[in-house]
Amino acid sequence: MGAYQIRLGEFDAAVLDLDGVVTDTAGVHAAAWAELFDSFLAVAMPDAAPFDREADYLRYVDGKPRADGVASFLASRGIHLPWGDPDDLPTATTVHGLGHRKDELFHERLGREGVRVFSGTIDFVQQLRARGRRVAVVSASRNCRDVLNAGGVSALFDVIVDGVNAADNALPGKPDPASFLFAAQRLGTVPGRILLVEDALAGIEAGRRGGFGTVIGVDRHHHADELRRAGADIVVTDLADLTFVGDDAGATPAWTVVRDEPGFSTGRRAHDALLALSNGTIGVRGGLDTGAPGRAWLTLAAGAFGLGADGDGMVRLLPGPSLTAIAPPDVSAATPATRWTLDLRSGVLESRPIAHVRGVCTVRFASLPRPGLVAVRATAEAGQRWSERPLQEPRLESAEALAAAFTYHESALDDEVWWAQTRSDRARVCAVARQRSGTDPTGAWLERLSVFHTDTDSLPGEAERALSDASQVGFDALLAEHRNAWAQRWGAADIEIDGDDRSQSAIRFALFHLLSCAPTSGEAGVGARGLTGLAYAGHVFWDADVFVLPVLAATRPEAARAMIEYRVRRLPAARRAAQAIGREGARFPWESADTGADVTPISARNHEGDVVEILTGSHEEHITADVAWATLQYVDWSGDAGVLDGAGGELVTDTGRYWASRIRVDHDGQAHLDRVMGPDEYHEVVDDNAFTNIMVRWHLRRAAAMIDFVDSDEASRWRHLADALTDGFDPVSRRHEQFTGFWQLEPLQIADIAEVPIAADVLLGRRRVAHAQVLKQPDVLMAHHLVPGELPRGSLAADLAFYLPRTAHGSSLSPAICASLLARAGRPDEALELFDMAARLDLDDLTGMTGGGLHMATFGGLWQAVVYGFGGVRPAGAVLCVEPALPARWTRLRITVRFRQIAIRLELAHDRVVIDADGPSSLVVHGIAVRGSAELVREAEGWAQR
Amino acid sequence: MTVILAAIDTSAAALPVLRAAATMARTLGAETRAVHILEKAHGTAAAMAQHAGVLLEVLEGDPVDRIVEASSEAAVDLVVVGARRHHAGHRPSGHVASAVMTRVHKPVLVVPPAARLSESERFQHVLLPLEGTTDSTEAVAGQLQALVDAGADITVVHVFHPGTVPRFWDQAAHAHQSWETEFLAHWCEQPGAELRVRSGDVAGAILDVAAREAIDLILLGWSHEMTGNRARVVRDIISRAEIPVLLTHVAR
Repeated sequence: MGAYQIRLGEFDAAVLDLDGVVTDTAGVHAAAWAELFDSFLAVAMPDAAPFDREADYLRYVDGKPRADGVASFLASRGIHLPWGDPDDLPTATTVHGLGHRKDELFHERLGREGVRVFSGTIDFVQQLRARGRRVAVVSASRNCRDVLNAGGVSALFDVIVDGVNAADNALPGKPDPASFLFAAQRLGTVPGRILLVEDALAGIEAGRRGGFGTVIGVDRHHHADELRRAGADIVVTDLADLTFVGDDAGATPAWTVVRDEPGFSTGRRAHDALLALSNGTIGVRGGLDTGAPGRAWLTLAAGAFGLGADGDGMVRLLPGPSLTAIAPPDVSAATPATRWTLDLRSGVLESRPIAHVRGVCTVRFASLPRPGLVAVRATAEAGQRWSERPLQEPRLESAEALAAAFTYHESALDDEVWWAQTRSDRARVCAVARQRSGTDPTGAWLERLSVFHTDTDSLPGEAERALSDASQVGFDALLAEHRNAWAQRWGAADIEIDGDDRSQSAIRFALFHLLSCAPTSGEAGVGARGLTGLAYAGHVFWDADVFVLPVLAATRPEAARAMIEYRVRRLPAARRAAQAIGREGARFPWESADTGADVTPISARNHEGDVVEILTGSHEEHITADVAWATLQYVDWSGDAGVLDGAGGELVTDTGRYWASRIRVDHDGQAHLDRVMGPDEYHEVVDDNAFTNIMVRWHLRRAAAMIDFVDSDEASRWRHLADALTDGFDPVSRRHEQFTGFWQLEPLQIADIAEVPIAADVLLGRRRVAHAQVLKQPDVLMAHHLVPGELPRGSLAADLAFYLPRTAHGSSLSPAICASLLARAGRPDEALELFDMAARLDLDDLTGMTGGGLHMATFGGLWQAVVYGFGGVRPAGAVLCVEPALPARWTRLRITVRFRQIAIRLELAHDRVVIDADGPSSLVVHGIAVRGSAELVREAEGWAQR
Repeated sequence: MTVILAAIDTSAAALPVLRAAATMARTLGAETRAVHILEKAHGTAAAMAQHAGVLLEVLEGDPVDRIVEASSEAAVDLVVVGARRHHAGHRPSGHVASAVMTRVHKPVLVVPPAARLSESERFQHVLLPLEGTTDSTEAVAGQLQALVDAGADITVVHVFHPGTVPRFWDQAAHAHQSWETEFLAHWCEQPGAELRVRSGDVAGAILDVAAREAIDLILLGWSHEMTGNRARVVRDIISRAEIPVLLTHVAR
């Protein structure tokens, strides 16, 4: 194999033209045409130029339906025969009659001489098949199957689309892409993931128009330039000139997640989570579609909760009706080995059997432009039976008591449309679904469109209308608009890392789930696991505000705004919570669900078999500063100060007011926060936690600035409190003490105990870690990350040197943030090791808990490590600072953000920075102020603008 | 009809062996047979077997060799031996039990001399210690399914020790529930199985759960070798358990 490389991971399948690509039928056809026209012209127009087997063949007849070829060649000679009737005899002097005569001549030759197959093509097809790719052949010829049989190669193709199929389905000929798209559908994948091979200009054009991933022109007639002009991406003289590159299993690091089952090492529930699809309104977990028992067909709707089924009083997510069961319940679960491919670029999940036997193939997506819509399509051999019910009761796994208790109802509205709902004590998830199925020449198919809604986000009848609209649009067009929406979303947010495929694939995977975890309008309460699983009960933690919100603020500001709206709408509940404990202002709950009441569990069993009190709800109060930080983070990126004029402003000031009433001032005038818990939950109830105090200091200062013009007395009181707050900083060592008394704890370096990451509380026991300098995640470093301006210059290096060796990273939030800080401190190569730990957390199921859902905060941390850490790209007021510190192996980092409504693409390398801004924008790059697009290079004396 | 083979001596330890064999036979729907290897007089063994209503075969020669031979008979599904002769505190298992455990390639039910055998007809509540590895899960799969089919309740126990401590443990209450859910889903999909998670001394934690939860049988997968960490745990459990322990291993 030769010169041109095909990245295998980008393709699920190939579609090949027959004549001239697979078989040298062109020679047989050309000879038959020549024989036909020579004998016809000899009688009808003896002085006309005879049929030229090269030029006339290509120009007039190649790749066209037979009758069209007859008519178009004769027209070139000024002859216009009547078309006649398709049933005309081969002896009739009509277009159809001549066509039939040509067919006779062709078959005579085929039977007499056989057909030559191109060995380079056969090798190519066999190599694709050996790598699990499906291959189709498409031809306008009704003789397609005969030709394949004559060449002895018909068994090589999973799908054959010929002239008979085209006629039955009224598919127009090339250059219309209809027959190729028909094949794509039979292959169970989308055109973008198909390699198309053609030798005819009309075929190349059809491939281009159909949106096929790569169009390869095979130049059999020395017209490479014409093939390129027609739209071929690559032109070769033989398919032997192509070389496959990339992971043999088909995983492109860049854009796909591929999982096979059985055989997926980290367990099928982790797999279901990794392949979850969401649009921020509805989440559908991955999973076997073909009816194996005991699988969780989990559909989750944002904001729908209920009291837990296990009776512990916890508020949990309410599973919605399930729509992914494909086979009827009585079909046994002899499920063949299946390959799942999640295409991150288009948000489409596909499944197909690994072996070359035909089985059920599925395609599904949760529509981005239509938030409640989930669409499924399945194809199989003729005779396949489908589940008659498009919606079904959610089948939770026996071990899974983590859902809300619910009742289930369903009914058929008419022959095609079903309605179903799950209902908890407080919410409903409803769905309407339309199912159609049928059989066509290539097999059986099923299409299912469903629209989900909850009481809170929909009016009666709206879902039915949305379903009816979607049905009129049709599956293919819905898929196309979904792909376009994803293309736009990626265009505004993609990150490219050159030189490190592993990190590249991880950041794309993280971005995929981050970009789809929140809707574009309304409110977005992003749970710790998004809509990818039932673990953590769907509760909203600081994970949402501090870890997830920044990436959305920088790429999808409207989604970040919806996240703030979630908090704003619960401000009254937060005010009541503050009042209930005798404070002013508003106090947000550590865990929040639908109402905004605190839903933090108050006790849990531990691994000694005992019941222990959970103190996060009562003591982990920094959440109240975190929601304010998130609001201002959104304003920093978007410039949308308007949000602060209304409830967003109240959110920041009322939470600030809470702190003002919470702080104790001692006799010396020093201000303290007693008895709180920082993010490092190994040390539960401490005084003057540095993280909390520094966040509160920052919060009071920002809130004071906002109320200055309303009540300058209160503002100056807040500033005074902020200035008086203890922060544990020791000017001699230039370190911060994590809390009062931390220096006196048992000095432990984590390396002496175990390899990180390690759940040190589980290993050593809660009592031991509470009395030792071992951290779940480093509070002081977290303050450096969130509010760097609040800490003295030079203290980051000292705090990193002290706290990092004491950090167990037993929190999934820890490693990515530490990576970001290491990069900021000029240690990007060490940072990359921690980045990788976070990157593998879900992909390799390092927690053993990925099955319960994906760690959205870890994803958010990864984005922050790349953008804030390695990229050094971060707003400072109305200026975007850019100060990259790339690991040695990253040769280039490309980041896309939207800063104050201007899209900015940054290309960061070790010795060069290129800014491509869509408008004027204030940036400071390596200390140099630029306005919008610019290029900077590193020269001997430092960075300079070109 | 499959056969459960009870190997008995003439000590008081033989009685619980016969009773455990009979219980297992009822649980799995099998027939019990006993062998006794002649060393001295066998009158006691015969009397005990007769009392238990079990057919006794008397063989001569080296006890371990003969038991291994008798076990290799195709009909024999499972072998029952006494952990040791005497009920004398927590002593290591006797040499016959140790040798049978390592040489017989079928499940071996090891019965302590003072086994607390329930009065019930069958083994009803089985404790299944799982490490969270493919090997330890596969080792027990066949016997676990047979016991579940016979209606036994399954309690899984997993012990965190320095080699198995999770790497991440986020919010204590949620992490605990989530981890348990995923552990069971991954390693023991039996409907209704419950999980107990403990930390520290592995054998001690397993026996503690067994005592607290009225367990009547421990189902223990092992590597079939008397070396390594897992074997130390197996030896500890055999020598300290007050209930029968069914040992199985991965067929290699």
